[in-house]
Amino acid sequence: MTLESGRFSASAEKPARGALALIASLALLLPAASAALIAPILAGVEEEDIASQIAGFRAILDEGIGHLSSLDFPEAVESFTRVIDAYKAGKIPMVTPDAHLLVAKAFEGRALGFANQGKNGDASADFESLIRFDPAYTIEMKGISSKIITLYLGVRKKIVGVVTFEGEPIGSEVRLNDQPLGVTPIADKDWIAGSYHLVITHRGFDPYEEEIRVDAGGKLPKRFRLTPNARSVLILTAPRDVKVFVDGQEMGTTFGTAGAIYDPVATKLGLNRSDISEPLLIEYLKPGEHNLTLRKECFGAVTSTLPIKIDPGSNEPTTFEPFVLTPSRGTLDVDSEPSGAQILLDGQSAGTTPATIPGVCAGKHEVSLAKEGLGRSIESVDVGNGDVRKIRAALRLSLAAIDLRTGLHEAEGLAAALKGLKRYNLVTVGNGIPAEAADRVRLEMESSQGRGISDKTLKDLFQSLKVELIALAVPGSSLGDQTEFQLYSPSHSVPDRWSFDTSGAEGMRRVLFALEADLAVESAWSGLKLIDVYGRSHPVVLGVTMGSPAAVGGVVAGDLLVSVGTTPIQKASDLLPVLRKAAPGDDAVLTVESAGKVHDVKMKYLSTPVLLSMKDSAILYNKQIADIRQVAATASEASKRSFAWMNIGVAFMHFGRYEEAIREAFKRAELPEGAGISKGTVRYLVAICYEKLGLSNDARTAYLDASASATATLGSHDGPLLAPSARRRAAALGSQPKS
Amino acid sequence: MNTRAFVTAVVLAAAASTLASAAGSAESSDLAKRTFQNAEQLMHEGKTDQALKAYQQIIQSFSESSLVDDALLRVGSFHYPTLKIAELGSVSAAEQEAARPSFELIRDRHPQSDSAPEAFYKLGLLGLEPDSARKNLDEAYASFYSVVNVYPESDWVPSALLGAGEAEFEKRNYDRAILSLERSLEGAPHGPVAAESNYLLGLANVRMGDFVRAAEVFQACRIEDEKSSTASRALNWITLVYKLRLIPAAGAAVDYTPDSGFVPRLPAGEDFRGEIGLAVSPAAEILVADPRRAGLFVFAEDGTKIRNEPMEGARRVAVDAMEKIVVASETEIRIGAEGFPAGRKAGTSVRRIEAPAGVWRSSAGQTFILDTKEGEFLVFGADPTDPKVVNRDKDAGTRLEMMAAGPEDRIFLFDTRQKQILVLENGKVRVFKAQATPPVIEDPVDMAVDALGDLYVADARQKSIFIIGPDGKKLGRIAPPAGTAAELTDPAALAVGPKGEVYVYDARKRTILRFR
Repeated sequence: MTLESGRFSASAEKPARGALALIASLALLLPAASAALIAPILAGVEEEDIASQIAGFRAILDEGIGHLSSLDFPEAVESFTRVIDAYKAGKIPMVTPDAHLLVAKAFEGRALGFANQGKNGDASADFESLIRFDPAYTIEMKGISSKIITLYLGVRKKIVGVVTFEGEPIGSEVRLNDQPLGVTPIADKDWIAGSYHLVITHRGFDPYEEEIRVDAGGKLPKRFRLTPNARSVLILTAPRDVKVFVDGQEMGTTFGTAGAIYDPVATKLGLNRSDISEPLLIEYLKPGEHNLTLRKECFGAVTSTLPIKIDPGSNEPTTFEPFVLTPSRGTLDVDSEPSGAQILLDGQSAGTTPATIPGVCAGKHEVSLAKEGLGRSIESVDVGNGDVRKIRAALRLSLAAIDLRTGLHEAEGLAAALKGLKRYNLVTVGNGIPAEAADRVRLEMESSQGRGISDKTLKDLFQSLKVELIALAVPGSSLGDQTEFQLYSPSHSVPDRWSFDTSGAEGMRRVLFALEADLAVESAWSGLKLIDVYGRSHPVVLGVTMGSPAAVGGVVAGDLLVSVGTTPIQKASDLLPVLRKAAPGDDAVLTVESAGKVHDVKMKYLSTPVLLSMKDSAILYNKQIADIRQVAATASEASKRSFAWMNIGVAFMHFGRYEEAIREAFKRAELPEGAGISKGTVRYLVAICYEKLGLSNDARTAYLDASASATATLGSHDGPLLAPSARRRAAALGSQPKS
Repeated sequence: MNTRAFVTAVVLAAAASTLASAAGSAESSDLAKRTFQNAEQLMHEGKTDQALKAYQQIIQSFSESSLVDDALLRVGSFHYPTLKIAELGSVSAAEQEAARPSFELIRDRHPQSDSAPEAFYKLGLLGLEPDSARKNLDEAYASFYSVVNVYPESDWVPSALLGAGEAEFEKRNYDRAILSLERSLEGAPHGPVAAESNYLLGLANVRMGDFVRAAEVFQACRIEDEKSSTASRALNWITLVYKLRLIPAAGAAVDYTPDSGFVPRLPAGEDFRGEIGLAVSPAAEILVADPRRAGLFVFAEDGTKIRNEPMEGARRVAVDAMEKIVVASETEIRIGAEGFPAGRKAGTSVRRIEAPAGVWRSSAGQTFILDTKEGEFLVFGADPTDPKVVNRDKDAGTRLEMMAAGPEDRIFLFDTRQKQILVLENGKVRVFKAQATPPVIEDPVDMAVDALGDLYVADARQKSIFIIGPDGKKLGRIAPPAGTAAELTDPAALAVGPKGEVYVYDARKRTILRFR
């Protein structure tokens, strides 16, 4: 429905018909207009107020129409007058089309009211007001008496002229006294007679201005030709789908296939026409030189200059020879630590590491590497044409952080505390963790009263979130401002639990430090066992481990260790930081006092595994399980893998998971017999597990087996010999040790 | 029992009878929680009497509350705050007994509560208390192992294993002590009780004769907490073990050099004269019983005088098995700060021991006195007037003139008539038989025993100190050349420090010499 479809219809003979027509048109038009049209127009205005105001005046208009239909013309005139007076007093908000129509109908209705009472002067005045209010508005002539029509047309002829605007370019905008008249061509358009300032404009052309006069009852035909001040161009590319930038601004993308007209050009360029796009029109570039850049993924960018000249004679768009883009690709050489990771190149599967991926489009790419249980890595790479870009990624484990505490500011939450976590990929609620998953954890934690989450939920979470660790912040004891930090690994369902007061400045940040910490499970090994003896200015060598660097260097029990390199050693503990700083393979010079003589011993540190403490409140054992699993999966040396499995077993023991410790860890720790951490160490640990499981006979047997390893140690290669303990434990379990 | 302890005991007894009757509800639970918080606040503010009343209110009136065990633990721990083996002996017997019912109630009625492991642990400690009449090593061991076996995940497990190790150590079951201590360290090698566990493990290994392992774990003790007093004592032990066991084991001789820098600093113009008694405390303080000056003089390791305690006729001084200073005078015997009126019943009166040549209290609390006037070697139980005669010279044909005691309650006696060394072991005196050639002692004047059980004998005629190992073998001899400043012109008293340093009173030089 359009506004033009609502027509007033009334006549002296059949006033009721005209009134009913007006009623029908308003009843249908106005609600529709208020719903469909008001909303976009009334930006910033109180819609309800305006709509109710207009509804009020529409009721008055309806009242006037009712009087017209009842042939109560004076009453009708009175009602219409109330609307018109309100309009003249500025009380009707003329911000909507139906308000405009409301006023037009009021003038039309009152004119009919006056005409039906024989008051032609008043009727003429209202017709004139109506025409001046909206020259385009025409009354519905069907069913109206010829007298009234004649009266109306007479008034119209006295104040309206006809204008016509034609010229080039078509589509120029015409304004009279800054009021829009329309877009050319404009033919025979009624306009109120008078003098006007004509302005004709079109993009790419200079505006045309003139003072004109429209005569009442006359016709004003106007022809024009605007002067161009810019010129369009046509850009073709081979291939298509190329983004076109002019002076840095994106102008569009080439498309389609060039027509047959371009066959010669295609031949000249050695191309198939089907490779060439349709011309892309870029309109109205100002005269001068413009920078053209063409971009398409996997192709080298093309830059050129577009010279623009105005041709006043024929300013048709300039067509340039097709621009040809050449393919631009490189190669990715991807490997990861550990290898065997699945590669996703921009989200698409691209094999497993190590891999060489040829034909990678030049440009920026995201390479995602993931290996289940061993971590993931996301790398950004910018490939140039012909480049071979190497990606060597160390897979990082991922950690999901969920804070179950309520009433916290975002900055106080676990995710904020772990912001900047380097060791793991951090996954948080809303950033990798769906809100439903967090809700599920919350509900389960509430129902278990903080004890933990079920095996099934844990399994689901680890699978769906694709993480190796899940960290929870749980409200702690109600007697204090406590938070419990829980850390889960996929290996089992028992979490590490840390309870602490979060009211201090450090708060949850201590969790970050603990997660970042790198617990040493391997250390530089000298083989020196030192003791402090009162009255000695340096520690005394209590013993040297067989086969150790110090033993090979000739250090013997009773020697004094004077210094290591430039570090003086005054007490046994002074050696610890030296060893912490050193790495296996580093050279060292020990200055030793032996039988009163000082000499240097040159040696190279070897490596000793360091057994985890089974119960250390500073250690997050699930973190250790996750971290050391990586080592177990990636170490190239069998002994390192075995040491790693041994420590995973110790971490299982920490959680009281003795069966898993034996089955999943210690069985994989295949160490040889020998001194230090060796097969005997594993046997001893297995024996403890059996003992904890109540399997006394198995424990006793395992202890006795361990006791046979006379030089095996606990702790590290320099740790205590385990044989005496193993014998003692076997004896305590009811058997005599092997002789 | 003091008044507060008595009130606590009465209230706890009442609480026990009403435990089953109090009704629980959400409302009372909330009230109990608020009462508990109030008690905590009062305790925090130092209003302990009010706090104890509030805890007791919870115990009595909210018997179904989950906070009852917490309240009991607070009350018990208020009376008995001891948490470490090293703190044993610091709480009076009355306070111990005031605390005990609280822990027992938790043990018996709240074994599932989170307070239970600590309550069991505290009961274990109470069983180890040295001055308690209810000291019971078996009960202590059982309480500690309840923590280990019933609450294996508890943080108290390493401490409980240490306690069990201590109980076994005191029973001289060193192998079993080592088992518990190694378990303690296995669980928490760097935990809060690691230093103490390593220390005791070192002692147990010393007793087992594994001196390398002992040195190793004493050193581990030092690494755990280098600045602690335990670490300092561990250093003493390492030094002693190294000097007197590891060096000889490597075939080298035990060397002593005079410490010329050491001089006991007396007021200007004063010196030691005549007979004195000499001992060294575990803290390396030099104790001098000087009858001429009528007091006990205490010097620091560097020779500066720390204090003196007046005591008429003080002649002998020793440090007993519980590391208390024992001083014997012609008129009294003092153990720690308390007098021990040792004597023999004579009708309705008590005849005091007038010439105690040696005094020592064993780990079982028995007091041994060598009475040279009567020629009797006596042992006293709880009654200081009812001794038993262990050795009577005229019956045994001996003349016991010197005594010195050491670890495992071993008491050495010197029989000057037979010129032989006797040893009291397991209640019986026997001749100390050397497995190797012993040194010939010509004119013994004093004896001392070090922490390893080695015997030191001062011989005036040979101007020497002989060091004899537990097997009777001579470990070393201190005999500075004649004419040197360190020459022992008239050794008259002898003591050994915790590091094996030897103190000799030279009556002619009127000073005390030190040899390291």
